[in-house]
Amino acid sequence: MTTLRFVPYSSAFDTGFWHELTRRKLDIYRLDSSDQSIFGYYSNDANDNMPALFNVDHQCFDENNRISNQQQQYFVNGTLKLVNTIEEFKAFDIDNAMKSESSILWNDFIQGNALENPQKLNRFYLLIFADLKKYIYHYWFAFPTFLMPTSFNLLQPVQSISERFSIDEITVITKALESNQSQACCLHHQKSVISLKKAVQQLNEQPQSAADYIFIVNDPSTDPAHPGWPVRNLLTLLYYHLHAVDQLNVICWRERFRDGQRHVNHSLYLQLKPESIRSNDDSIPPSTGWEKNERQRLGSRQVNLSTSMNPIHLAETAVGLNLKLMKWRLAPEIDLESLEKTRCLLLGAGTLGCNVARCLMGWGVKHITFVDNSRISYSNPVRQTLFTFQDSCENKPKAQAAADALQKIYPGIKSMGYDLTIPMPGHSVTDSTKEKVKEDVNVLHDLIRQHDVIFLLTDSRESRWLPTVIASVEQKIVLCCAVGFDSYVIIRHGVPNDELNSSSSTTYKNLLPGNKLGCYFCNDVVAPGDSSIDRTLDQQCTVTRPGISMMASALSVELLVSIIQHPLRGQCSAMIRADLEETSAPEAISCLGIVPHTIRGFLGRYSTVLPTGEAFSQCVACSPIVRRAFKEDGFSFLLKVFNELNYLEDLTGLLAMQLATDLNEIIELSDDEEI
Amino acid sequence: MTFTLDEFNQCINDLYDQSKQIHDRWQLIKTPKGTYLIYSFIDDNCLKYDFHIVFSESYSVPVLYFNISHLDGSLLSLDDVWKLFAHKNNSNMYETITQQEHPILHRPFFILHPCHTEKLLKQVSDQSMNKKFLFWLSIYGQSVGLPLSVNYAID
Repeated sequence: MTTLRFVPYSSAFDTGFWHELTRRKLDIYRLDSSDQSIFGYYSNDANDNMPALFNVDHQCFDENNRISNQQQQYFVNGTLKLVNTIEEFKAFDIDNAMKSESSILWNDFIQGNALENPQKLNRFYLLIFADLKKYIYHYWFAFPTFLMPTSFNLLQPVQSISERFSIDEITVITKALESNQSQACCLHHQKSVISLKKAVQQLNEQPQSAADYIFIVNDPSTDPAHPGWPVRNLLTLLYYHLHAVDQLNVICWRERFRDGQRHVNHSLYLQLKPESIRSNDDSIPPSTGWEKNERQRLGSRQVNLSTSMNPIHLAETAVGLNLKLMKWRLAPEIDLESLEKTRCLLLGAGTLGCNVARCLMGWGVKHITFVDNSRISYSNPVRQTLFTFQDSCENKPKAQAAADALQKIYPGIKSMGYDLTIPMPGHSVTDSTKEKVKEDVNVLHDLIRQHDVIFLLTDSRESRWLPTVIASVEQKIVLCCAVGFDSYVIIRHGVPNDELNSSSSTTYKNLLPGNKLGCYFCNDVVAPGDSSIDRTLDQQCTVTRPGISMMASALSVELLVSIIQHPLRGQCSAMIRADLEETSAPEAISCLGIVPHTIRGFLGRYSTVLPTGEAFSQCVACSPIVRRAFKEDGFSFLLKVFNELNYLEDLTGLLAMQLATDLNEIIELSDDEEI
Repeated sequence: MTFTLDEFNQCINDLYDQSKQIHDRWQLIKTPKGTYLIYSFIDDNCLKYDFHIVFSESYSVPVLYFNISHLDGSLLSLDDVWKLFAHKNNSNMYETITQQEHPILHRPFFILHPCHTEKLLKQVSDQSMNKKFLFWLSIYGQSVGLPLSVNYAID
């Protein structure tokens, strides 16, 4: 005689369950960890080889509110225990919980409730701890069943119904069961459906007619030899209530529809020899049923839902997806990953700095550092798009405030702010300030080293000198952006490479390679001096038409993106007069278009020109002489620049050039700004 | 070629009725925020597919929302979803999978972006509303693994 073995449930969660659980924890339960009633369900329509699933979804918290209308879902009542700490979860008394849950089940069995209402054939217990900082959910299901009888003896091996019944018989059975909605019932003479209660009553009156009764139980298992958990509980119930019956027929009913066709032949037919399990005192027998974990051991499971529930994760995914959509649908060759990794240093957190940062974030740049030594004043927030009125009331330092603002817009950004004064030529350094200035230089130098791109967005000419020199020595990409009342200029500085200096300044066809491009100072024949003395108020604060800053900032970022797309990056060539050329040289193009050296815009005429400037061999900032002086003499070279008038002009030979220029020899001066 | 909200509701009700007749598993969910259809199944790899047909007010067309999850409720990422569907032709402009918040359930779902739906529907502009709906569903659904029985096409 063989014994019957059963397939335990496999728990299955709908994603919505976790969302609803979280909502209830936050809004309703809060710290209340008392038992809550919930329900779950199983179906009997699974495909072959599927596990016997036990499901919970977002509607399981309230039986009365269920709005979906799926057939073949059989409900099971249960208890939810949502504890507040992981310690409570780990120390939880699972034996006690099992006892209390199974005693509800046992009472329903012995008092006959389960015979009247087959939904009471099953129960479950669900222990959960929700870590709502990390969105990790620890859980453990228990499906109580009894360890009595110790074995279910079969009178014959398990068969499928197609092996036991003819096609016609199966058709009749199927028709009879069509209207059955309950978890279990009984078939009398294979054609009339009666309730469990009635069947038990009749069988106890006439136990010899056991062959006329077939108990039907909806079975979630798909195993051809082993039924699921609900069958086990039904048998336990029947063994308790039936007396003197020597055979029990059961169909584990499995029914599925594929393409409109009904399949039931995989249902199981069982014939068992019942035994009495009544004891004298009706004490609850030992029970079991905690679900094993993925390693088939008795232990809890967990699921990590941070990618679909953590708002910060969701924001990251959404922002990334937005950019990817642009790439997939419009610009497939674009390299978004390089952009994301580009570390940008913004010298100046004012009107230009704020708008450049915004545009960089739009492109998915994740690493932005601000340097600024000033504080937010009342006039700033209307133009400086990262600041608010409140910031100006509190007079916050701009660099840090800007970094904080970026975090509020997108938490995934790495933003930092440095309150730093950039040392400048013409602003003398005294002995008392020398150490501080040296430290500032070092901080600036380190910052430039740690970033890939430097944006020069300060409000004076001379403050751009030192960063230009350092960035040139460090071979970084520099975007220099300067604005006037109704004009702007954006220059991408040439990036020297390590090849030996070629002496000639001849152009190459109509292209200028990246290492020969000029910087912001290349067109100057005087060194930058202290421009702050003798300026009128409007010159000191650089008051421009508000749109200028937005246009210039946006173009600076777009130019940078184009540079990054080019395989040579900062070394990529620029066409001499890109806007006049009809076709563009292939070396000077990225997938986004041309990569000009200079963009000059004039708002009064809504016009833009794209000149190209060559690096000046005697430039006060990027020439080899200056770079060498900085590399070799470091701070002592800088001190001379800061303190000595004409030092730079002397060093580069500009002084000699100025003296050599005899004014008498100049015949005509041109006022034309255009190069 | 677009749908009005009433036309959409009619189509999904009709599909639901047909589904009940052939014992298929479409569910019709009516909420104060709108009515939509759900189709759920679990494949041989124990991945759960949930398809929702929701109406897009701004495009005036139906949109196919879907999620693929493991049995513990965790969702597949977009990369995983791409890998899953890599063998189906995904260079078709109709099929751009993006992620959006479900307008009624307010949690993330993948969708097939509706911007090309109207153009697609122009191809069947002379057909009945239900046929148009079925045409849309068969094209968008098949690219993401939604099984659609041929019985729906039979009147």
